[in-house]
Amino acid sequence: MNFLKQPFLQFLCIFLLGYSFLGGLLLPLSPNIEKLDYKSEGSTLVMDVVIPKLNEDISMFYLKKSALGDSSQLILKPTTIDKKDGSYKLSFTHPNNFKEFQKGDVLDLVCHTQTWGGLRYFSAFYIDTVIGSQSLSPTANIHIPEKQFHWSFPNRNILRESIRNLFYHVPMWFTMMALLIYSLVQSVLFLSSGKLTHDRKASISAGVASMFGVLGLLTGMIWAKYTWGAFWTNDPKLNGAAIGMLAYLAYFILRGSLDDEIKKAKLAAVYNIFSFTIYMVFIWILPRINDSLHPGNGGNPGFNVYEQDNVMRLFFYPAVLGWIFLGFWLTEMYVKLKENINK
Amino acid sequence: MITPVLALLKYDFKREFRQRLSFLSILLYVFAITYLLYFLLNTQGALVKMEVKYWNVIFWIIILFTTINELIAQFSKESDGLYLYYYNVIHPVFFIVARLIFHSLYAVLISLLTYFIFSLWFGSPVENFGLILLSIVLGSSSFAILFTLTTALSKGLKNNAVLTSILGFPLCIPLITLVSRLSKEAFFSTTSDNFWINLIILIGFNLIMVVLSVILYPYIWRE
Repeated sequence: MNFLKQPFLQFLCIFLLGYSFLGGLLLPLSPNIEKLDYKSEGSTLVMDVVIPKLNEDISMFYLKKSALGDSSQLILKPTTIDKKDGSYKLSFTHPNNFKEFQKGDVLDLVCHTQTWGGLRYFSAFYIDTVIGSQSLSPTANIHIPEKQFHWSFPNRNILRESIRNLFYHVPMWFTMMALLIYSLVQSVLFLSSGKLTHDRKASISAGVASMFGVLGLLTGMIWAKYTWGAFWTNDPKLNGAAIGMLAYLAYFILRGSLDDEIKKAKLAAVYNIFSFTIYMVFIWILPRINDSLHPGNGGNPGFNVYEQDNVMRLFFYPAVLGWIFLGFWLTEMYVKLKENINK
Repeated sequence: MITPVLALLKYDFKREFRQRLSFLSILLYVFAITYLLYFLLNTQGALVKMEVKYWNVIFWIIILFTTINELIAQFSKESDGLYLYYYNVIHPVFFIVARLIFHSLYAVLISLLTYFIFSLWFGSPVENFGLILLSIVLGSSSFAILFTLTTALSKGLKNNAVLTSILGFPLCIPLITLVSRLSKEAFFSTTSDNFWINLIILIGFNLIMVVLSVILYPYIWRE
């Protein structure tokens, strides 16, 4: 890691982190449907919708099954629309009456705007009972207008402002993975060469990785409280993260209970390789079998929902790079400090 | 390759047969802990119409702790002098292979006995007997393989009994999850869709652990 000593890279690291911090916290969210109340009145469904900060007319409102793609023509348009400065009162024929919708279907409310493209309120209505006598007539030519470029982040219900946590929570895990792989490589190098510098690097990078893991857990817990309603859920990815943290704490206890440098290094390297392998199997294979609440698992929208947004991407990738640089920089500084103390 | 492993296994079993006390003490441990749980659950009235999922959880917890105790007892029986002797005459790969086979067989034997002892008090709501046997064999051997490596790591350290558990517990959580999920299927006459995936992952896990033990053991052999 001698290349990190170059001032240029250290400057780049600080620049990337500062850029993602400033941009990620200061840019506004784009306007979207902020508040939605609905009540059923006989065979009509009345929705009260509030869209603040939007200074243009909405060309079209409709309800659509979440699972269907943008090109689907099966939509339910409102019968009447009342507009009152920023809030709309929409009345629909009750969705329960249509045989296209089954029990358990989730409907999104979509509206079309000229400059912001299609605004979408996810899971606006759940179909609970089906009467199902009428049928929807397919509507031709639904063009969601092209979204124009704005310096703003997507505004999704449930997520809201917490979408900015993407720039902190996810890079923490990426950094932890990178450092753990580095630690594994150093452990293997130690076992094959027997040089104690490799062991020092392995233990320090594992320590820094654990720190990033704890930070990833903390940022994730705050996000989970806001979006899922609890700090801790029985989610395969959370369990995997917790087990990894426990395994690396055990690694440090193993190191702490030995005095002989060579012996300590050997046992710790062996345990590091062993636990890393099991940990990887656990976090990469088991969540694929079970449903997870995380994006991309169990029918949840994947990461590409965020990545489709160019502005998110402009800040997400620099943040990842910056945090990984920071992790390696910290490791390198600790290694240097340890070496100077030992001299 | 096979001759030294077989010789070592033969020696281990002969020694185990001569010192029947340790085998009996493990059985007594199983009796005691099962009765303790039975007594405790009975005072709480929890045994009336106990659901199979609780049966499953209690069963696997007993198996896990029995395996750990058994391995700690096995390793503490061997003196440093005996290790020095082994060190001079056997290649470490043969030694660890023999150890893995011996501990797995021993753990499977104890776990099968545990199953019968456990059924005495808790009953056996199992529908698919072959499946519970399969999961006991796979589960207890995987615990044995995992804790063989962690006991080998912590051998000769000051607080080795505690350290064995600390090192092994985080890594055995995925194993016990998979195993309990596998044995849960034994309570129903039909298997679910995930059955084969679970089985393959568990076997894969065991293979990975065996390969890692064989590769890594020569490095800690001398310590």
